[in-house]
Formats: sequence, C-alpha cells, structure tokens
Amino acid sequence: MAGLRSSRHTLCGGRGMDRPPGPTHRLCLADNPSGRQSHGATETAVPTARLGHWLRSISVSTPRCGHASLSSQVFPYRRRHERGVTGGVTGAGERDFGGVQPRTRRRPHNCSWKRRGKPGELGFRFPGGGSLGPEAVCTFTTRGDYVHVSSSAFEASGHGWWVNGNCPTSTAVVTVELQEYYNDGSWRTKGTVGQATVRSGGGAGNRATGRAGCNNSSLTGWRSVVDVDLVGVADDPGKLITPARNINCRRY
Amino acid sequence: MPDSTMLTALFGDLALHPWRDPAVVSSDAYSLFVARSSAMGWLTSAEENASGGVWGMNDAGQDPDPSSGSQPSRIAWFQVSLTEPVPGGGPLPVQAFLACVGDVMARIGTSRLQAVQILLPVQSLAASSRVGSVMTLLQDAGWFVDCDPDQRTQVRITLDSGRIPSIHSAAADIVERTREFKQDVFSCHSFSVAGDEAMVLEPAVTDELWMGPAHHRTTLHGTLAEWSLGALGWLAAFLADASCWHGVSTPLMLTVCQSEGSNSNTDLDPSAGFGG
Repeated sequence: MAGLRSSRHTLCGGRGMDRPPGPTHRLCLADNPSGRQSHGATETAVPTARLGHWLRSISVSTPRCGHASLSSQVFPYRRRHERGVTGGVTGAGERDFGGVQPRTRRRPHNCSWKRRGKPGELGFRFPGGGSLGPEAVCTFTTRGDYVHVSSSAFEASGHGWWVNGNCPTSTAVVTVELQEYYNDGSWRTKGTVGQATVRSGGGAGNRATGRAGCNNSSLTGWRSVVDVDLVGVADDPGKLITPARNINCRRY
Repeated sequence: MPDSTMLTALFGDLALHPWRDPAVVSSDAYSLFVARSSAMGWLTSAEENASGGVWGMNDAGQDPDPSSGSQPSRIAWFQVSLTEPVPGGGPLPVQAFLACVGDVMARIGTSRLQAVQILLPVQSLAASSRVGSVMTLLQDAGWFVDCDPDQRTQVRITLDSGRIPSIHSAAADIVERTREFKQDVFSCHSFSVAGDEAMVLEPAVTDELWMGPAHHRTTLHGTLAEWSLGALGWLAAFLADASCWHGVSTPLMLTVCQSEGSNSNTDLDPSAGFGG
C-alpha cells in the first residue's frame, strides 16, 4: 500500500504538469464523496453532476475568427518518419507546424491543474503541488479512431470510447466532436457531436460517433476531440485530440 | 488524392458461434479488430506521437441479417487508413489486414466466403521501389507452398479504377507480371478489359472514398492456391504492386469470387492460412 500511495503522489503532484498530455487519465478520487476533508487532505470531491457541468464549461476551445475569407484546408501534417525534417507535406499558403500538430487549449491528463471556475464553485484541485490525502487513484484511457470518410455515406466520421483500468464505475459519457482545419490555423467543430453513455471497451453499442456531412471531396484536414466523463466518479477534464488526417471531405 | 484508405467487405454466409448472443455480447467486429490489431502490432493508436503500427482504425461492422437482400450478402466489413507511406521494398499490408479480419471473423462465427471486395490504396505505393516489394511477395508466397492441390480454386477477379481509366492500359502488363515471376499462388488464364459484366456487390462503397463509381475495370480469370483470406491477401498485394509498377497511381477496387464449378463456398478456417 505504501508503494501505491507513493505512486499516487507521483501521479497527482505538481510535477505532473510537465508531462505531455496523453490519452491515459490518471485520476485522484477523493474517498469521501461528501467533499469533507479527510486525513489532512485539502482536495474536494466533486459531485458528478456539477463536475460534468463544470467540465463542459472548459471544453477545448475552437477559435472563431469569423472572417469570411477563411476556408478549410489540407492539414500540413508530416508523416511520423518525417518529423524534424524541413519541408514535409505542405501546400501553398499553409503553415508549417514543424510536424507538431497545433493545439487548441488543452489541459494535462492528470489531476495536477488549477481550476478555472468561479469562486465557490466546486472542482477538484490539488494545491501545494501534490500534497495528497488517502484518495483513491484510478486509471482509464480515452480512445478514438482516425477521422475518416464513411464507406456508406459521404460524411466524415470518428468514434470514441473508453477503457476502464480500475475506476469504480461501469459507464461513462463519451462525447466525440469532429473538427475541420482552416487556413488560419484554427480547428472548427463541425457536424453532429456524438454522445453516448457506454460501458468500457468500445464494443457493441459502446462507442460514440461524431459525424459531419461533406459538401465536396476536397482534401481537408480533420481530427476529433474525445471526452470521457465517468458516471458517478470525478474525473479530470483532459480530452483526447486525435492526430489530424487529410481526407477527401470538405464541409467549410 | 484520396487518403490511404484500405477497406474490405466479405460476402457470403456467417453462422454465429452459439455462445455469441447478439443481444448480450459486448464485443463486435469493430472492437475485435481493434483488439487484434493492437495485439499483433498492426494498430497505430489515434493519439499524438503514437509509434508503431501499420494502420489506424476507421470503422468496421457486421451486417445484422446477411441472409436478406442481394446475393451474395455482405457479412462484415473493415476499414482502416494506412498511417505511414508503405516503406520502400514493401507491399501494401493487405496480408496482415486480411489476417486480422480472418481472426475477427473466426472469433464471431463460422463464415462461408463467396466473394471479397478490397479497396487497395495503390497511391500509397512508390513505383520506384516495386522491384524490392515483389521479391518480398515471392518470399511471402512460401506460405502457400505444398498447399493441398485439391484446394486450388478457380477465381474471377475484377480490378476497377473507377473514373480513372488507368487500369485499361496497365491490364496486359499486370497479367504478364503474374506470369513473369515464379510463384504458384495465382495463375492467370485470361483477362479482358471490356465485355465482362461487373460483379454487383451491395452495398456499394462511397464513391468519394476511391474515385468511384465503378467504371473502368479489367477482369482476370485464373487459379488461386486456396480459397482463403491468406491467399486473397497475397493476391491483392501482388496485384496492387503490379498495378503500381505499370502506372496505376489511384485506388483500385479489387473484387474476387469463386468461378462456377470450383471448390465453392469453402468455410473460412483459420488454419487455411489467414489465422496465423
């Protein structure tokens, strides 16, 4: 158990902020759902409903420039083996991102982050750089696939699901939104956001699907943003942003 | 140019394993394919800085009632996108793709395959490196050495380049390539670029995924070492390679079915070459 506690400190401490975000969520779960402090810890367990509301309020931003001249673009991503090489797959007028996908605002997928809610609003927070109490720690992973053109309809499609490690819940609300790349470097959410309350594993009936009809077949950059909110368990606001893919679908 | 989408649709009959009650199972073709691809090192996770793998998952499905509608009926389909350009000297990873599909289908039930449709992202191949890739394929052909002679099957093959006519000019050279290199997996007896009716398999794949609709095609008749996803994967990789070598640079829709009078309706059996 000592080792486990040590691990929890490592997972949830302030140093975690420096780790690159990944799809695996490591959560700190207060073992006291009433929100009272225990064993000297200062964290507050978040009632699920309120947490869900709060998380939505800090969802990944989608820049809205509003210029009429903006249009969808091929995303100048590079193949993995081309990273670090000048050039790559770029087109006229495109920005060269050096092989790194530009990010919208993201939060690290661990629990060492600062809340942005209004004063008095509930959230889970670990002040002091990781001084944690005896909270439970659990792990789950957010999964998605590459945005693609559907084989049965002329639309972009992307799936999302989750894999439970050891979290004390059987279901999660999975949300998938598709984003189209624009020539100002922004990603804009398009189409129908998919949302479903599903079991772990991504199997039959346990995936959420985002869809966006295509207006033409111009090669265009797409990606998806997958969010998983565990039912009945406070989780962090990290989201999976899938790698950009250029597909023959442009919606504008 | 379309994305490097690789897709296959299986047509025939599928008898579910008795323990797989569709009302209660928690896995499906999609999740099984993801799991198997991951286990075998073929899956590239859809996350930043993911390493390894050959393809990224797109979609998959099992048709709920294959017995209804057109014949032969589609029983399942799988769609991936290649996550890397095919390395020089390597063929399209169709063999691994169909091996994974075969594993999944064996997990679900017993399939009787009547036809297979494969979307080949030929544009992902570089013509300059095809000499090396054909040698790789010849090495791969060793899997089919000493196959049961009784399992050799007459097949009808259609290669369709959709709106792009390139397959017409390449057809003769593709056939010649099957004869030029020493392999016993596929023997081509005849081909035509016009006249043969297209094999109609429903539902059709979205045109935008491959420069469809089906239009420019060539039809080959020949003998395949066995009616298995393993042999079909090898054949598909070889034809994609040959097509690229002879100037095709757009997706091809490959359709293969057994000719009348051949060893028809062979059950899909993992031991027949697609399961490992």
